[in-house]
Formats: sequence, structure tokens, C-alpha cells
Amino acid sequence: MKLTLEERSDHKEIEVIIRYGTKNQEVERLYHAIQACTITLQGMKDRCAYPLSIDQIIYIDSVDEHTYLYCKDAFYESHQKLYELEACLAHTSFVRIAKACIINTDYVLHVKPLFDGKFIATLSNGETLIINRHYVKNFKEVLGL
Amino acid sequence: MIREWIRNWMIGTFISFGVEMLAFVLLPQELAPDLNQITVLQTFVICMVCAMAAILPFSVMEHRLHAFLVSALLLLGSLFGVGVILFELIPFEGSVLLSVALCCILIYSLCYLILLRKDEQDAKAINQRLLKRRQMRMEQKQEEA
Repeated sequence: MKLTLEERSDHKEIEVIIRYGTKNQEVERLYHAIQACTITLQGMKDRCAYPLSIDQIIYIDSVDEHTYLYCKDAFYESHQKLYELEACLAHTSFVRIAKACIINTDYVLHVKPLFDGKFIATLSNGETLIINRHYVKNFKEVLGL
Repeated sequence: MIREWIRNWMIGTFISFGVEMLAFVLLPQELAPDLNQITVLQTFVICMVCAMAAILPFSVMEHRLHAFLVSALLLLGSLFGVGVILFELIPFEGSVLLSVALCCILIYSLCYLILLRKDEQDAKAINQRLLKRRQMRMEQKQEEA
């Protein structure tokens, strides 16, 4: 794969072109990775709106019809529903692990199996989340297993 | 996945067959059937059918507890259907029911251990992948620095 940086003063915004011979998994992966860099979610805190890039978000939780975006030092409320966020974050490092929770796998340190078929994931901020048995397959797919 | 299913089925069959043969040897003569080619073959068929009935729900059902319950019902149903009604090999006696219950406990313990082992293997694979990803990210950050 050739990687080229080209400076053009007449371009007002960044343009990324992926040239390929045959569309394969690598091309798609590259496309989704670049697309993920442009995704920004809006989080509300103290009536202020904050743009959050997805690499700032550790996990997303839904409680009593409210959706919260948990970052390293704070959490924000999102006006979007969990299923909307899940669709928006498809093909990124985010994956649903329970009915009301989406996790950023980049922040998962390790997982441990529980006796009832679930897994417990330890995050880099010290928190633990439960991965429901039903969602383990998706979790593994996001990691490329 | 099919190979694993067949392997589990065979393990279940041979363990239950071994337990049944032991039960026939240890049970009083009036309760145990005569051990000849036909009765041994019939016992093996019963064990094969029961093992299949016991293991099948775990392959198709997501909810583990429901799978255990359905499995127990299918197992007892196939045991009575084939062993008591079809072959008339298993008499409807208290001690026979006890040996059947012991067989069930053994098979379900084996199934549970198999599932637990699979969970451990899954967790190991996930943790290895997570570690690899972290190492790659650290290398990328070092290159950027």
C-alpha cells in the first residue's frame, strides 16, 4: 500500500481518495477507519453542547430512556437513542455488549468469563462492564476474531 | 462447530454408555436386563439418542438456563421413549430412576464444564487480541512522537 501526502493550497478541506484495483476487505477496513475519524457525537452537560470525537468516549449507557456518553473525566447526555448511536458507530471500535450498553473496545484492558456464560470486561479507567452472552460473538467480530 | 458438536455427542454417548454398563453390572439381577449382544446394542442406541437430545439445545439456544431445562426434558423424553417404550429395556423402577438421575447429573456437569472451558478459551483469545492492539497503538504513538 502506498501512502502519499499532497499539499494543495487551493483545497479548503481535507480530501481522502482511496485508489484500489479490486475492492476487498482491506479496502473496506481502511475506508471505515478513515470514516471513523470524522465521526463526532454531541454531548450535553450543564445545558452546554460539546462535540466529542469517538476516541474520547469509553462507553455509552442508556438508563430510563436517557443516553449517556462516558468519557475519561466526565459524562455527557446524548439526544440520540442507543440504537441510533449503534448504527452511527457501526464499523468502528464500538460494539453493543448488553441491551443498554455500547462499549469502545479500545478502552478494554481484559475480559474474564463468569459462571453464567457472561463475560466481565475491565476498562482502562478501572470500571467493569458485563458482556452479555448474546453479544460475545459481536464483541469478538469487532476484534477480528 | 459441527465437529465440536459431534465430539461432544460422542463423549456424552460413551460416558453414559459406560455408566449404564456399570449400572447393569451393579444392579440386582431382577432389575438389570440380561447382558447380551442385543441388549448392549440397544443400550448403546439409547445412550446415543439421549446424548443427542441432551446436547442439541445448547447448540441452538442462546439462553443457557433455558437450554439446560429443554435438554433435561428432551433427555428424559428420549430415554423413556426409546428405553422404556420402544426397547422395553429399562424397567420403570425406583433404582433405575436413580441411575437415570445420576446419568443426567453426570452429563449436565460435563456439558457445563465444556461450556466453561469454551468460555475460558474465548476469554484467552480476546485478551491476546486486546493486548496486541494495545501494543500496536503504543508503537504508533512512539512513531508519531
